[in-house]
Amino acid sequence: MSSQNNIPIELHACMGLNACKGHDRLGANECAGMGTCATAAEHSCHTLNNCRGQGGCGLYGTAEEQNHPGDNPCSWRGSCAVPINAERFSTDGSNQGKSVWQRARVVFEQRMNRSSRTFGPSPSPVGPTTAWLKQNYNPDYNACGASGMSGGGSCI
Amino acid sequence: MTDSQRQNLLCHLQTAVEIELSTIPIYLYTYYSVNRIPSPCDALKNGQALATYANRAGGLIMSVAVEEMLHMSLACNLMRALGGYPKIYGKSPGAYPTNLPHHKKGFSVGLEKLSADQLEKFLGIEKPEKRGAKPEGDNWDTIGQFYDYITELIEKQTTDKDYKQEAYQLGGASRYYAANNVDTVYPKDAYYFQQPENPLNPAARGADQAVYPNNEDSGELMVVKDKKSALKAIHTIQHQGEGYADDPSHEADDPEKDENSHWFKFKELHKEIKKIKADDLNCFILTFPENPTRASYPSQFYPLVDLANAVYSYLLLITEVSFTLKGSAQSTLFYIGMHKGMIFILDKILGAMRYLYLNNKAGEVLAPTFENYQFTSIASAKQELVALAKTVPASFGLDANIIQRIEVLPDVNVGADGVVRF
Repeated sequence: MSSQNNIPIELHACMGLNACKGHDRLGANECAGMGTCATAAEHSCHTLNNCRGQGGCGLYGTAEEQNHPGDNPCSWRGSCAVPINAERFSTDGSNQGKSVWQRARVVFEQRMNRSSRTFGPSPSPVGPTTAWLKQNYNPDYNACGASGMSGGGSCI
Repeated sequence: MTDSQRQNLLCHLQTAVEIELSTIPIYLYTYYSVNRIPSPCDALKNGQALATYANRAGGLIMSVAVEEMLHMSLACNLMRALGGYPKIYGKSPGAYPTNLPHHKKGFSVGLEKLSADQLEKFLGIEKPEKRGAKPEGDNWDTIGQFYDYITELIEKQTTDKDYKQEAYQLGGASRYYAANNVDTVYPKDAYYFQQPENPLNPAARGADQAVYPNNEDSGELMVVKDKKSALKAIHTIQHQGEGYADDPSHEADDPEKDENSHWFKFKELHKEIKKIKADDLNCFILTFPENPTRASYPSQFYPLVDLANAVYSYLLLITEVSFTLKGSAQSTLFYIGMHKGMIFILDKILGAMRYLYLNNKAGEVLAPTFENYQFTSIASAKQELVALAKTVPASFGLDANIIQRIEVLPDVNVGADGVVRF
């Protein structure tokens, strides 16, 4: 994906996880960490991500993967659906039972700090809810899992 | 150990691989017969309790199936450690009902929907051995006794230097295994989502309800590098199946008592399903036929049944080939192939099949047959799979992305350059 003047942008998995100004789906955010929407291609689950940093996490994947949402090393090594709905919790690993989006934000902030980059607050401190995603992003938004506990419906 | 001792142990370990493999389609068939989010139950007075049981049953059966995949992989790791090559492709039972490999005569289990009877069969598979029961390498009574026999061979006949080939095993740094996922987890109360979401913590509503039926401390995918780790792998299989031999309840299978044994999980489900009226079961159990075969279905369904069996068999092939690779090649083939293949291809095909009606008097639906699909040649297996997918009529409502996902499955034919191609 590239912006209108063909400058490549860094793809990311969700609201508040953008590394640069203008790097949200609308290209309108003022600052790193303040974007409203994922630039990564929407996908519904594990290993369906096209690029580095596009995995959502929380539904399938190893404990290690689930602890690094939005921070996968390579295409098809991501763990779960993008965007990351606020209702989603990790099913395995040290973040088990806790918000995936909030873990993704922590991982993002650590990455920015390592790079000595400043960043602003996310438009929402808890991430986008499923209701918000359906209204503002994609009315058919869903996530994986026959248990229905992704909070984003089920893609079975 | 001598060569003949090695061959004998490898032979029993191949049987172990086939025992574990044989349980997977049986458990998955019953799993797919359950609608875990059953809106038809909502109209019933006890709909909440039924929906809660449905989701719990699905989660528990999947949690067992996941560990059977782990057990098969552990047995394969043991074979590789001893210089053997596990055979998996074509080794699924194929025809049902079936006995388990080398089990004594008289036991039989098949592809059947969830019921008290089927859960009794599951209890038969996971039956704990009696204390002091003798090890049995053939004509065995319980899986525990069969693994006791393997334990004896390992203890008496092997030394640490017999274990090699660590790089070709699955596990270790690659960490392919997760004890839980969104399909094993289930809610304490299926109607939890009717409660308001906390805007300050939207994840809490589901997370507070979540039950995780598996736990990593019960054992995970480990590399076998010496006699001690070989015994640990076998004990993991035994504990997870039937609990601790010295615990008469056979309830827990881990030191922290965070995970129930397979036997205990099924015992609980069996106890609960017997209290549910037969009519009420219909709101969450689909009308799966008993022991279906491709030939038992109307011919218009053949393309879809063939595709499901071919994908299932291709996944077995990927697993078998993965044990001949190491490093990035193994990781690329196994990780991407199995995760994509299981979750986004096979699961979606089986999910779509079960809502196609056979239009027979019993009102049955199209269920998986889990037959071994024989590819014309391994060299062209991937292309054959893609071609099969393209023969499925659009009228079956298969997810439009399925063909594309099959096209990007890794090819099991890894070139001499060690690069996995898609």
